[in-house]
Amino acid sequence: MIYNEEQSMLRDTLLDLLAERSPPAALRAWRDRDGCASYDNDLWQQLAELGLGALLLPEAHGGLGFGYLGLGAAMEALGRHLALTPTVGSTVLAGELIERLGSDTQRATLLPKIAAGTVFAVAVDEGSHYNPAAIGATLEDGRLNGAKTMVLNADLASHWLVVANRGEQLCVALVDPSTSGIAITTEQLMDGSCVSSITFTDVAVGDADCLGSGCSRQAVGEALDIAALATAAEQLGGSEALLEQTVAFLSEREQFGVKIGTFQALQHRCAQLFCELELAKSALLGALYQLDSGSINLASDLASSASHAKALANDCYVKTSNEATQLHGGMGVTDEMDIGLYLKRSRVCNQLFGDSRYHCDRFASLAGF
Amino acid sequence: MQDYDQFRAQTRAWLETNCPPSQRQPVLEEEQIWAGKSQHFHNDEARQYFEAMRDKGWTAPDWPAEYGGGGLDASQTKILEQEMARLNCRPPLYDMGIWMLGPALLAYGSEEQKREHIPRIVRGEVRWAQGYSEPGAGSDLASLKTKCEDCGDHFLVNGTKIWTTKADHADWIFCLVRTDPTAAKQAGISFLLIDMHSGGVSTAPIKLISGASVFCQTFFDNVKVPKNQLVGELNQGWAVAKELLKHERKLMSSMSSMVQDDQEGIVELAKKHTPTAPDGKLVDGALRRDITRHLMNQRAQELLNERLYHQAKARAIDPRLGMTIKHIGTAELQRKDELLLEILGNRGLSWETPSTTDNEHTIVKNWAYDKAHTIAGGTSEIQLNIIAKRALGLPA
Repeated sequence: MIYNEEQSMLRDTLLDLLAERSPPAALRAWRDRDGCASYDNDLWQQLAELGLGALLLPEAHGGLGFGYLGLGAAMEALGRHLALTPTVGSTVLAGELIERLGSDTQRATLLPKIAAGTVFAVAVDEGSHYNPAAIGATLEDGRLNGAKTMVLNADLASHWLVVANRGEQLCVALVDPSTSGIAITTEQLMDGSCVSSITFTDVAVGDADCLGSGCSRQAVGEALDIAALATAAEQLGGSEALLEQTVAFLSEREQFGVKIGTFQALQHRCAQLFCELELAKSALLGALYQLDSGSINLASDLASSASHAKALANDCYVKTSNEATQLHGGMGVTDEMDIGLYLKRSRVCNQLFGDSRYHCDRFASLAGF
Repeated sequence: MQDYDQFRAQTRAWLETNCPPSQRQPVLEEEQIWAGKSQHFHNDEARQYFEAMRDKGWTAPDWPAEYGGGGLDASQTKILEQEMARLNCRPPLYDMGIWMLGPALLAYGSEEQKREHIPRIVRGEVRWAQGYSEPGAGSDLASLKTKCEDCGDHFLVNGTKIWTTKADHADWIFCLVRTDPTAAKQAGISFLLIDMHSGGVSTAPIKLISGASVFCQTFFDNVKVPKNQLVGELNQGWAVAKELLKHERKLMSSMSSMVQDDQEGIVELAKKHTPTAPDGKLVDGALRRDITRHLMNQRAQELLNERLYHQAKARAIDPRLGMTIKHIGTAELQRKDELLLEILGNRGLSWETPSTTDNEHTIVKNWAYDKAHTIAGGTSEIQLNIIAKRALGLPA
């Protein structure tokens, strides 16, 4: 449950690079520029050179084998700096889907592309809430139909994977974005990131472009749960950065002739945030460690562990960002400070791969109540 | 390279043989095996289990074998704990000497003190009490006033201690006393071991809101104490006390697992007292969510402990984590108590009435008793002060 030397080094290298190349202020500029795009391709190429496309993949497919804790270390760094990248959508979600559902040929063709930094997008969500158990999109007789929302990095991806019903099971259709029958709208969210809504009308999908047969519902669920864990790591990286910035502010700011950080009421609020952060981190590290050590039962335990970690990370980031805003006083509500950027990012992360309502409900159902 | 798998297998087999069935049930308060002259066993199996564990030194598994401890390393100790938890083995011995004094004596005691006291603690021959707080010195412990004068060949102690756990059954007490009234607060304190059977020592139990009387006030009226019972240097008692407090905080946070309270799980209880849907889900969505939150926090706490263990094994301990444990653990325990009481509804209001079941009775009593956990051993407010200043570095 601790990072090994390579994983720590990965995080530190990323932190150094992002501090220079993509600090939180860069997100403000990205948000305010004309047009909209889900990530900065120049930055992504640099990150891909460091291996962000190849974190999880087996070495046989061009991966670096950093493991799931390594993924956590990388996402923590991205979260601290509010960096917008296709890591979760492409490296993690697309990579895991292909790894778990692809045929040998599909894996051998597609995984090295992801490892090299080619960006894939995965369309799962429909409607206003994450609920992968109730997917309406269908793939019947080689035709894909449905409406997807909240698709990460679809605007720039060269390949799309679309989760749809095929008979009783799920399948994942590999779709070329230029195929006819596709309508895509990409819009910026409150935090400056972009997501796409895509409708598919009788889009032709050949048999060779379908991933998954047999019990694919289980494998899709696993990939989504791993994406939820990656998001949780980003959330906790962001929470940690916020807490540090808040402590620094309270240690500087003077009122009534003293540093306001000497006030017990404010100290206790920060201490409480620290406790909740460390609890949430423990839930996350526990899940990542179990995945790496192979001690997790994928069928029975991963869903519960992922819901546990994501629910605590959701609540931690939301609460820490609210508290950080309040504890920064008037400055906290200005766009000049970075606090507001984290506040908005926290709400976006909260919806990605399930909010706490979803995960608490699932955790309870899995526990039999 | 030691063979931990073999150790686990041997430990498992040994526990299966030596921990009788009655000692694998959740322990009721009256069945706890306490140390000392007044030690008693509620049945023969309890005695057999205690004696077997004692003879292996597993009442204090990680203490050095040369003083009678189990001599296990950190990994072996963890394995023993895991195997005991697997079989639901009860703690073999309850004593402040095991939990607190022993580790401090091993760190600060003289060779003579270790040889005299540690083996007797391991063997459960002496029951220890803790004399820290005073009526006027609670969170501000360093303001304590119990006076200890140097009378040449002995010390003379006068004053009073409060919240001395089970002092009315204790054989010995470890105390913080003021040996230099002129020095700055922490600088004038010494750490003293006192025989409770000495002349001038008396105790009075304190009745709590739970109805229990686990704490006493202890009075010292011209008590003579031999000088070789001073632990550490004169006026250096604060360092010893801090070592002990570390262990006390760990202890308080692990209370929930030690005193096995609700024999029925919280989910089962909720299903019994509130409506469920045909698929087994609780109909009361708010209650379902509250229980989920509690279970998630409880599991995260277990994982926090796991994380500390991994850090210790890799010799990469983040000292900030340990500071959170007492506050987190005790706050969650109280949340659980409140939930259990709420689930019982009006059945959670009775107090020793004939229609109350044992389980209901335990829930109600624990609810009242556990209010003490966020106060004893450093209040939650003090814990948050420590986190704010030492973990986060906020200004003093």
